[in-house]
Order: sequence, then structure tokens, then C-alpha cells
Amino acid sequence: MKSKIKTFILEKDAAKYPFAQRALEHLRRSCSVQGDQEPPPYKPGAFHLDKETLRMISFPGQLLKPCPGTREYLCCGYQILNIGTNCPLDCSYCILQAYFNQPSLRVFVNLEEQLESIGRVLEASRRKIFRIGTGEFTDSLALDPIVKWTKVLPSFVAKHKNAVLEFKTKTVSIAGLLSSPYRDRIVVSWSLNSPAIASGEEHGAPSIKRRLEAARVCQREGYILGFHFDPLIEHPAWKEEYARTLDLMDHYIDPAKIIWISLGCLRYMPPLKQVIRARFPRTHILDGEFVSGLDGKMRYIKPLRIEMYASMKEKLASCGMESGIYLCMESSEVWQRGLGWSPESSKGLSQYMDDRTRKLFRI
Amino acid sequence: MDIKLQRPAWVDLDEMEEGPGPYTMSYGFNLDVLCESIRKVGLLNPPLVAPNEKGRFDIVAGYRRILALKALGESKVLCKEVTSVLPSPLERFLVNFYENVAIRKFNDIEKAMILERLRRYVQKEEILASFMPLLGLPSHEGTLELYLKLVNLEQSFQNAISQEEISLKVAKALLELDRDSQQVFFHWIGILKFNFNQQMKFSEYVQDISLRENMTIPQVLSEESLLKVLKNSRLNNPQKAKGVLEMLRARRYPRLAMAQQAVESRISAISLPPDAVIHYDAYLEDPNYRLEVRFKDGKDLKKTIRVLHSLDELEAIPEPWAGQ
Repeated sequence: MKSKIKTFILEKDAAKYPFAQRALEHLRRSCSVQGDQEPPPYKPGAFHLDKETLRMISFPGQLLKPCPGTREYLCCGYQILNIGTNCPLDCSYCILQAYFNQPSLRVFVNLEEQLESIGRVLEASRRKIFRIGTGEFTDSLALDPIVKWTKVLPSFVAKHKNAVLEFKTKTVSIAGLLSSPYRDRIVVSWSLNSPAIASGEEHGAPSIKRRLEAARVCQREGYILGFHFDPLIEHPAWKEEYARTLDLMDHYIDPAKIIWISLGCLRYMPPLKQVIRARFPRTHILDGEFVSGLDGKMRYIKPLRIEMYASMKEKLASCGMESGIYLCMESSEVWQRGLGWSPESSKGLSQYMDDRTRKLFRI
Repeated sequence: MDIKLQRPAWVDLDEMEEGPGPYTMSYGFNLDVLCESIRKVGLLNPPLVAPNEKGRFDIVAGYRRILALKALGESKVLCKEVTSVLPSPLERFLVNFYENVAIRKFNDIEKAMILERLRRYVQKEEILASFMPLLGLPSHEGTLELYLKLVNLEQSFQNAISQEEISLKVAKALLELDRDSQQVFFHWIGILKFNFNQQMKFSEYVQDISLRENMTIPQVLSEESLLKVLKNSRLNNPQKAKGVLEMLRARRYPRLAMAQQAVESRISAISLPPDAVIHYDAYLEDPNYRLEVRFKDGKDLKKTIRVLHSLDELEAIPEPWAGQ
């Protein structure tokens, strides 16, 4: 992905960190560079996300946190490694548009410093498997050519046998991964959608075909893959449209080396609707019948969600890819009706995901 | 020189500029009480004025007093001419602002007028930090932009906002629309006298339908089925408002509306004892119903349970989404 970053900002105390120095080295000639800046003032309700500015920040809080989940729906017990926030891609449905109160692409440069304490957390619970991902608040690889997370994180995971790290992306920025010597307990995942949604709503992201070509390269280079169909979006001929993507997956990917495939229908906190309407006035992603879920998020009516999951599962099964399918933030009832079984509880789902991890990585 | 020490002089009311001018900030007010007060005790405080380049007088403070005097048929007013004590437009504006802000609550159009005028003389950062809190507004740029847009709305809209007939949230949504859509929305809101909550729903349903069905908002709202509700002489206004919203909701959420109706008709057909109620999640997301029983004592409870137990219809209650 060609960088569109025009301004590079080193916030106070960030310059001393290697991540910041690597990024500075990369962007020095192409960007305006500003050093020792204070954080920008909080501007609630501002829709300008300033994706052309990259900020290097020494983040004062904890970088590893469990996925918050909600009581009402089953959560897989994932751990989020917060390497940065916001993303250079501009998907119309992105929850981050209404989630953060700070603009710009933000990279937490003190990550290496924090890895030591994160390592202690992992070692303190050696019997527990930590499924860790960096793709919740940003794309895991979109900024990797600049920041080079893949130089640091795989070697950290190699030292901790109960940790699995997932890089989740929509990009084809895999050079860093390919040059890394580490493969064990690294999952490279792609967020996929129908070709129509990818081209119409995932602004700045490569086509589905290009993503799957990159996935194939990674798989051939020994990486275990994951896929995420989240959000599934109701749109004209959605069954056929999603089947087109699954056919491409079938063509490019060996199902035996897929650890998991998540499915999740579009859902959003109510304030996101206004942001989407303001930023993407002609989008049709909000056309479906959304209701307020038990967690307060807007989600499709239940029979539609069940229909979408069942359709995806049927097609995935026909491609030999039924192993490792899971639903993100759904009720046990929807699991049962959409997939034909249910882990019953968040604990059961976590166990199921851990079993997949043990099986694929022979832990 | 102090304004208090300034000697008042008589000015012809005909020499005063019409309208609030650059310094005053009154909108959507009722003059009756002020007229009555002047009639009874006369004008207690002389208005402040300043001559303008056209040789007439701009009102610096006392716009409503001058309107009241005109309404009472007076031809002259005792005023203080403040050019020398308040040489700059900002000073004149601020005198009026601080006089008002201390003693009354501004409506939203008045707040918009104030912010729009301040914008001419004061940096945006200062407006956000110092003036918006005085107006009871959050120091948000988005809020400032919204208020600045209100100044350009048509007068009928401004009247409705100043009289709190339209919520500011709805006004904000309407501002994003083209003029034709604004007018047709405003027309419906005016006719049906929706409350604020209904206004929001109405605005959201209509905009969603317009996008979903690739129609303009005036096209959605000119459909015969909706107009029929408006013309139905057997319905009063609240019933019409409810009917219109229900029609729009069913069109926006067809599967949900049908399922809700099916559940409701099944439940309401059951002859439940008077102290028992069956509840369900309005969005049918929760798979469970909930039975509520009120009772005075154990005997009373057992009685209700016996009646419930004997009701064969209970077994026919379907799952919330069954058959959909």
C-alpha cells in the first residue's frame, strides 16, 4: 500500500524509542516532521479523522488487555495488544470512526519497553493459552512497512510458548512477515468481505483477490492463516456475493492450514450511524433492519443473522473449510441455529479456540 | 466616560433602524408583558443607541423596549447615545450581551445570533473557551458550527426552534438536507405536532426509507397512504402522528414489524388473569418471554397460578420469531 502520510509527529518523549526512529528513518524524506509535540486537543464530534498524520506516542497505559466482550453474547477470550489506534484504510463501516476521541494514525512506540512486563504476565499463567491480536484498534500490517512491528513481535512470541499472536489485516503488506524467521504460533489473518462490499465500502483496501494472493504466499511460506468475515453485510445478492469470495478462498487457500474463520454480522454503537451518514452519505450499509441488541449495539434482526451465518457455514463446508468457524459476539441460540452447535458459554468458546490453537500449533 | 453618567436625550422612533441590528440579540419574544409594564409605570431604563453611517440610529441595548414603545404608539424615546463611551462595535455588542446574559435565558436562535455576531469580532478559540459556557453550551467546535448554521435558516424554522417546537437534534438533522426536503419535513412536523422523540423517529425513518428505496424525501412524504392518514377526519392529531410513525416504521423495518405484530396478537389473544402479564423483548432479540404476576398473599398467588395452569392457550405461545 502506498503511504499517504504527509505529516509525521513525534509526541513528547516518543523520539527515544526504536519504533519512532525506524518510522522517522522511513518517512524523513517524504513527510513534514514535527518533534516534541503535545497531544492534540480533544475534539468530540469531529468527523475529520486526519489519516494523513502519523503520530508516535509513548502510551502511558497497559497495552495488553482482554477483549471487553459483553455478558449477553459469547466472547472468545481474546487478548488485545494495543500497538496503535486508527488505520490508514477508510472502511465506511469501521467502528473506530466513533470509538476514539483522538484523530490521526497513532503508534505506541513504547511497545518494546512494555513487552517485558507483558512477558511476565504470560509466564505467570503458563497453563493458559494467550491468543493475542494486534488488529482490533488498527490494521496489524498497514503501517508495518513504516513501523516494522514484524521485526519485534514474532521474536517476542517465540520466547513465550503459551502465546499465539495474530496479525489481522486487509492489506498485502507482508514483506516484513516474509523476511521474519519466525513461524511458530504466528497467525496471519485477512479480513474478507464480498467483492462488492470490498470495492464499494473498504476504501483504500486491496481487492479480495489480492488479499487472497498475499494469504497464499504467507501460507506457502509456512504461516498458519485465519480469516474474518466481520462485518457480514446484507446487500443485493449477498449470498452469491459472499460465495464469490469463498470460491476464491477455495482456489487460493489450503483449508488444512486455517486455524479459524470468524463470522460476525455488522453491528455498531448507535452514535456511529450519524458518523457514517456524515462521512459516507450515499452508502447503503445501514439499509438493513437493525435493532438494539442486548448489549446496546445495533445489530441485524435475529433471523437475518442466523440466515447469513448458516449460508456462510454451508458454503465454507462445501469448500472443506468448516473447521474453526466461530461467531463473534453472538448468543448461544444464534450459534445453535446458525452453525448447528453452540459452545454454550464464553468459557466454552474460549476452550474451543484454545483447542484449535493446540491442534494447529501442536502445543 | 461611564454609561451611567451619560445624559439621555429624546430620539424620534422613526429614526431608529428596523430589526435587531448588529448589537441586539432578541428573537421569538412576546411584547405583551413589556407593553403592559410601560403602560403602567413608563420606561424605567433608557435604551442605548449609536448613530450609523446612514444617519439613523442602531439600537445598542433596548430593542424590545423600542418595539414596545412603537406598539404603544409612541413617537419619541429618551435614549443614551453611546458613541463616545462605546466606540467599537465589539464593545457595544458586549454591553448588550452582558446585560442580557445575567438576567435571562436565551433561546437557541438568540444563542445562534450571539455566536454569529461574536464570530465577526472574536477569535473562534475565545468563543469556544469563554462565551459558549456563558450560553450554557459545551465548548465544542461542532456545536458552534451547528449554531452558526441556524442563523441562515428560514424564519419559520427559526420561529419553531426558538419556541421549542422543533428539537435542536432534529434541526441538526434537517440542516444536512436540501431545502425542499427541509420544507416538507417542517410542514409535517408542524401539522402533526410531534413531540421531540417522535420528531427524531420521524426524521430517522423518512431519511432511511429515502436512502433504502432511492427516493427523495418529498417523494416519500407525498405518498397517498401517508396523506390518507393526514386527511382522516376521524383521527385526532396525536392519533394521526402515531399512525404516520407506525406506517413509516413498518416500511423501514418490515420483518421486525410483522414479527412484533404476530407476537402481540398471540399474547393479547390469551385470557390471562388480571394480575398476570407476559412481557417480551421489543426487538425479539431475547429468546425468552417473562411472566409477571402480582399477588397480595400466597393464596392469591396460588389462585393465579391455578388459572394460568388451566390455560391451554399458553402452550400455543410460539417462539418470538417463529414462522418469520
